[in-house]
Amino acid sequence: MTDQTNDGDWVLEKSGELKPGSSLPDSLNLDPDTHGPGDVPLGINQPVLITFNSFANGRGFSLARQLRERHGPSLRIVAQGHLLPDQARHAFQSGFDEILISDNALKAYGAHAWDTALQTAVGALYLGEVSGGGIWSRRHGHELT
Amino acid sequence: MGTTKLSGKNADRAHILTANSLLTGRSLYWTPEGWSQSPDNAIRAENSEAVAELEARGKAEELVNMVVGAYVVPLASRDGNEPVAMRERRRIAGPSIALPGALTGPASA
Amino acid sequence: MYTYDAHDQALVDARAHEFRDQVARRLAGQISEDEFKPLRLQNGLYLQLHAYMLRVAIPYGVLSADQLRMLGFLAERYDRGYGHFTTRQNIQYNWTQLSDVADMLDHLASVQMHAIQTSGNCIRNVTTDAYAGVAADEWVDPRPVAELLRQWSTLHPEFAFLPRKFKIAVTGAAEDRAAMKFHDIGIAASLGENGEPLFDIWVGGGQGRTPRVAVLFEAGVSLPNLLPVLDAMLRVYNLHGRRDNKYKARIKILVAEMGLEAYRDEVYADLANRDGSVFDEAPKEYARIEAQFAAAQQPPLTPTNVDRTDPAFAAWLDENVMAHRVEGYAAVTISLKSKGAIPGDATADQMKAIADLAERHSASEVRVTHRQNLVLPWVPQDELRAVFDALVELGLAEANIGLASDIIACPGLDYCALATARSIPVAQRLSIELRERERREDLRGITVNISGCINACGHHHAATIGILGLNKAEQENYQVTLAGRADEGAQVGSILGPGFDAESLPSAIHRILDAFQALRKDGEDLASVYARVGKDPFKQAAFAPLEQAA
Repeated sequence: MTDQTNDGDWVLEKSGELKPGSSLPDSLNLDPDTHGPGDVPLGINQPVLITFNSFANGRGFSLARQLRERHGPSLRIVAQGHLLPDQARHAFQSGFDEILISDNALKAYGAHAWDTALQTAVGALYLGEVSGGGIWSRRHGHELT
Repeated sequence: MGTTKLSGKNADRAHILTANSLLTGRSLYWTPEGWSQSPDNAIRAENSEAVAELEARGKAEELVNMVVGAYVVPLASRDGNEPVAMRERRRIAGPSIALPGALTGPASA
Repeated sequence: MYTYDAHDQALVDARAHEFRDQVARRLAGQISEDEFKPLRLQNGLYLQLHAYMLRVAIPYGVLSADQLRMLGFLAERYDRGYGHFTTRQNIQYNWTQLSDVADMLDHLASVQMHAIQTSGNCIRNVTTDAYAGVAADEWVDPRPVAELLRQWSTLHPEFAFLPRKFKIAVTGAAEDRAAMKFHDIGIAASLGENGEPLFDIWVGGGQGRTPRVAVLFEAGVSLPNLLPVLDAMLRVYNLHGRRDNKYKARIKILVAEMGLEAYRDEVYADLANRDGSVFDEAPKEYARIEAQFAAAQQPPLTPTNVDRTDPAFAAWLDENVMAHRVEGYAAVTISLKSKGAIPGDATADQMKAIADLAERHSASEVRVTHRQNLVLPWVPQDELRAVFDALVELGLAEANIGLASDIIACPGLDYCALATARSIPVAQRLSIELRERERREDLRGITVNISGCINACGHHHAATIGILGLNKAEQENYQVTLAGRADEGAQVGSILGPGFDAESLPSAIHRILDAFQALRKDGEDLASVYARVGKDPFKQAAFAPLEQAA
């Protein structure tokens, strides 16, 4: 775990908006294969950056969800590394706030695919996110809209 | 697919290149005319340089998204196109059983 | 039955649309094959030996007549006129094309079906007792909880890229007809004192190269706690399951390596740290689903004395017709194991005809069993004769459910890219010979299951006579296991000895059955005889002639 500045060339936000990236200063960097939620102190002000070494390894989704559950909405949780546009919804629904995307990844998968990732993917799931929502809430009258 | 090591009993064998069509999934074999569903005219690599060339061809064909899973298949003898592996022989011959139902629909073409 | 509302429908429509986009990007080269593979697998699409294979989900094995008709239509329109019902209550099409799959998913969505999570390293289609809601020995109808689990697991964002596949089965009856203890998680529902369902959760069962019977994780979990516990169990597996070796990646290995206690501690530590409010609506959702299944239960009828004078009809009643929990009905199992048939295969015409029968005689409902047969769950007793006559016309009246010729077989090397030997021809030959034999002697309770490779899709570990096809120096070789059980007394079969070639296998099976009949006392089943006398008498019988010849 190291503290360092990371640059994403592009950032996909939870709103679905794709923007040119800005630097992410002083992030707490986590590798989901070796780090757990205990590595993030309560009350931390730094953003947490979780790196996906392979898109096929879904540990980062569970780690993000654990952090969101323990730290609430104030913790900024950012993903980087090998993720497909198709996994943007998994990341956001698991508690990530942003995904850093390199120029290479933008070119390889296509800017359009990133730009439309959240419109293309299935958004409404049965189980809500930590922040609420979900088909079950809507069905049973607890959706705050 | 990794590069096949031509060691042991396969070192002296001829090889042909196979893959599956990305669009249809059908087994294909590399011939002088390109990909064919039949191995009959498949290009035979008789030495290790030729096998490496076939493998490079397989990778190039994967990169243009025509085929997936290209690899070379060792043949049982110097004459004839029968693979050593039972799996590859079955892949060429198709199911050994009488298929149920009438052969309808575009997939039977 | 469960019927989609606008939310369910929107989800499967959106998933079909998403897959169409994924195929387009794959064809345009924007996703590599390595990246596309998990995406297509999560929509049931495999690349097999000869073609793409599409596995369509039949959630907990329940189909309406319209849905079965659609499955027949898809077989005709996009495949070669048939499909294969699997041991996980799904159906597979063997000859599909990538370019057609999105259209097939649209057709499926139009009848409230999909192919979501029928493959890939995610939570697979939840299976259950094919006789749910109709079996006389049932404590709790397992379908509402199976549907609740379907909804929870569908596109669950955390669990789409697990270390390995994850299979869940639910039962709610005295007899386990879902092989619950051979699943990553098995759930046994019963009724608590207050009339609320309680759930025993079993973990770490499975077949494959390391067969294991599940162990009890916790007994008597209440409905409000069920999903939080399952979600935490999956999370600990996702975080700690091995990803360095695919053969050690299933939860059975994690639980064995961590120890059950340590695994349980991790699960409860995670639960203690989480906000469980996302699960608050689950009991209400369960009640909503349960009400739908309850409304579909049929009112009792006046019981009928069925005329048994026709011996063929009487034999079919004895073997294929099960007592029903509701007065005046019977549950009819349609054997897809006629003499010489391919286990689990049905033609488009047969699917349509069975859909018609279900509409006329079974409240428009059909089930798929994990032994690869179909069930008409609501046949009025006075319509049994009409159903039998119609099945005779269709060639589907084989009276062999639960007999030795009711063989489970995976597709094997005739279709499967992973197979090491063929399964289907072995099943066909044995079904002919065993069908002859069971007319002369009692072979009830003998299960013959055939897998074409160590992955054990044909459930050979769980059969009284299991057959595993291997590749021995590029020749097919068949290893026999004895005394496995898939039911509530689940146990892994024992390997008898070296394998047999395809020619000598059937006679070896006959000699094993001869030994069984000679050793059997008072109608014992094979597992009991085996437990009493051990392996040696069976081994001697199976191998004796071979040794003499050597």
